[in-house]
Amino acid sequence: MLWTIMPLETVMEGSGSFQPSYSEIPWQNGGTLLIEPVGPDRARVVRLISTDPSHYLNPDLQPGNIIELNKLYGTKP
Amino acid sequence: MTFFSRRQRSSLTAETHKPEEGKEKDAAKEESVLQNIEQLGQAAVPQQTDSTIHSITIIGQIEGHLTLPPQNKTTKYEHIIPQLVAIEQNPKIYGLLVILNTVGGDVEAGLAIAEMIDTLSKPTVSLVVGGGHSIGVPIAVSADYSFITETATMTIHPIRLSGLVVGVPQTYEYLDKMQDRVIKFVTRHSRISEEKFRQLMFCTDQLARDIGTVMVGRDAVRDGLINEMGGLGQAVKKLQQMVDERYNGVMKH
Repeated sequence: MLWTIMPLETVMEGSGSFQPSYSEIPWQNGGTLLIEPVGPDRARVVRLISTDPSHYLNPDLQPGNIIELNKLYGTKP
Repeated sequence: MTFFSRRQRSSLTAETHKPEEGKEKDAAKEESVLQNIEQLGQAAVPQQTDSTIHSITIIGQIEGHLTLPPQNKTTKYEHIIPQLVAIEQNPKIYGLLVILNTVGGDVEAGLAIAEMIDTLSKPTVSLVVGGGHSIGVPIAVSADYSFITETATMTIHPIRLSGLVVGVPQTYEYLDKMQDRVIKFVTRHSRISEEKFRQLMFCTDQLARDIGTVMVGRDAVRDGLINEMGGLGQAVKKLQQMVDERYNGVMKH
């Protein structure tokens, strides 16, 4: 339920055509990264799923950060 | 869907732990700053080692159980909540500054963030800049001490479903119950009385297209919603003072 001063039409505009494609990749210590691929080897961090609170303070894993996949994994996928 | 084999994954650890040359490190740091500006609109995110005070910004729409379309700037509760857990648990962090510029959003997500900030055992200070509307109000009052800038506004208006025809009395009762949760939270965490808050919420001569009240900085302080008028400097100073009192000057500045 939304409680906002913005008109609901403005907030919901384009909600029909909004279809993001996310992938999950494993992260250290059993965590998972939800990413949105933005290029052949690049992906944007959407969400980190981990039980270690300190992971959430890692600047590299902040939502919106672009990560280089081949740099992370050594070789191209 | 998995991108990589186990062998490739294990090389990740080797790669990331390799010590870098100083020059490369500088270049990489500069690149990451630029990337942060591009991606997050800000120069740096909280560093684990640098600061003993951490800051969380609540901006745009507070996104709840529904992912909003991409034209919205959103604060996602699933990002904020684990960060609050990390701040509570990390012994190197002594205080939290919450900066708000929000138009409102999901009631449950907003209340969840407010409850988490309220029950955080470390000193917390909130600062409303620009606007802290609707569900931003309980978040602003959830901190131990709150500030608002002179020009910032807070809109207090009833919760309702736009375009919905209240067909059965239960719908009205449900909305009323949601509203009560917010009113109780706000009046419990600020000096404003329930009577006054309800009066502001249902005021009919203030807003052009809605019932409710817009409170500009000074009004919010006068009515007891916010503790004090001030900006970033005052907010950080207050937080520093509270941290010093709590930890008896153990904290290193």
